[in-house]
Amino acid sequence: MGAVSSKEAVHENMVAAVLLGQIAKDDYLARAHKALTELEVGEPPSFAAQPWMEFYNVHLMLVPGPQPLEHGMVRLSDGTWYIAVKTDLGTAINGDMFDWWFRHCTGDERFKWLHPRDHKSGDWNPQFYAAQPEDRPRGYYVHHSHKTSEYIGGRTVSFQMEYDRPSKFFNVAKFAEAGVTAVVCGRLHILETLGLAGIAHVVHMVRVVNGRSELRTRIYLGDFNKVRLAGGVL
Amino acid sequence: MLGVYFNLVYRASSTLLLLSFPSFQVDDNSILPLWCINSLGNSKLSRFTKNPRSLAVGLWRHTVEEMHCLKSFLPDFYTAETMRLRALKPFELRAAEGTDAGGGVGGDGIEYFQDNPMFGKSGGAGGFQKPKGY
Repeated sequence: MGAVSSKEAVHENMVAAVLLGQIAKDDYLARAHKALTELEVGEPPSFAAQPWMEFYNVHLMLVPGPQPLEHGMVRLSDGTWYIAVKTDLGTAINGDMFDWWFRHCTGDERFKWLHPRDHKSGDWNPQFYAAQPEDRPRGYYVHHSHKTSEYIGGRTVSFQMEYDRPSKFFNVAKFAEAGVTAVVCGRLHILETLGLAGIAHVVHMVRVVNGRSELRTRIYLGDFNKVRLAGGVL
Repeated sequence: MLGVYFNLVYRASSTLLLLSFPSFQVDDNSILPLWCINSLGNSKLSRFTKNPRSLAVGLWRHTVEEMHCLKSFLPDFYTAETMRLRALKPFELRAAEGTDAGGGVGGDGIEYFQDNPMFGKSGGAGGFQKPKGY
């Protein structure tokens, strides 16, 4: 058998698509893989640190109109990072659908669709499965934790995302007025040899602007909180 | 280098603290109580060393890619999965909830008990009548 060069090699995510000669409609892994390979992400835009970027000002996301930095990242004076990502979801995806995804992203296979290259594994805490998929109401993931293994920043890290209720950060009574259709937020923890530690706050907000859904993601990286010790020295 | 230095100072100071105040030992496996670890972890020095620019850029890039991938398959997956789950649900439960499209007689004379995209809602708005002999 002859050696296969890297150009000829087929990525494992695309095997079925190559055999079929096309990407099947329900081959979500291949579709996501194709979308990922076609995407070109440049360097994050730089911006000066400003007070509204602090985590305690997260509620300002409800103010109509775009914030001065919707897509980029800034190191704040206290050492934390403000990371902002804006995604145009178009007219095909709405807030209900976005919320639904978090209730149905179960198991490694579906988690890999989200990022076919960097996602290794991901699953919910056992209590999450107490309700059948069709019986999980909106916001069901709140107070559940999603344990993942991902390749980020050049190394594989184990995360634990613990979802929280939006009312902890926002005045939910103003959602309709602000055109907000979904908010998914939580605390991102990292699992390391020394134990479990919170390292970031994450907020996903979907709102309707000119008939299109836009997803605004904010990550406040650096707010440290050790939750559990793992029997180490520290 | 700065990280190694910080680690050495951190370990030395925590050991000294334990020797000075034995009550700081909160359980059998730890030297420092959580509040002390969290104070040190939230210091500016710790934030700058533990969260380098490479990690922040990695997270930003990862999130951009994640949401782009999600956009590529979510509408189709949502449609297919909701239909699949609905079909799996017991017939009586769907009828009781009023979520069933209702049964009815199709153009081919066959009585359909479940949703059929060919015939749409044949049982009225959310209504369901149990067919004879079912």
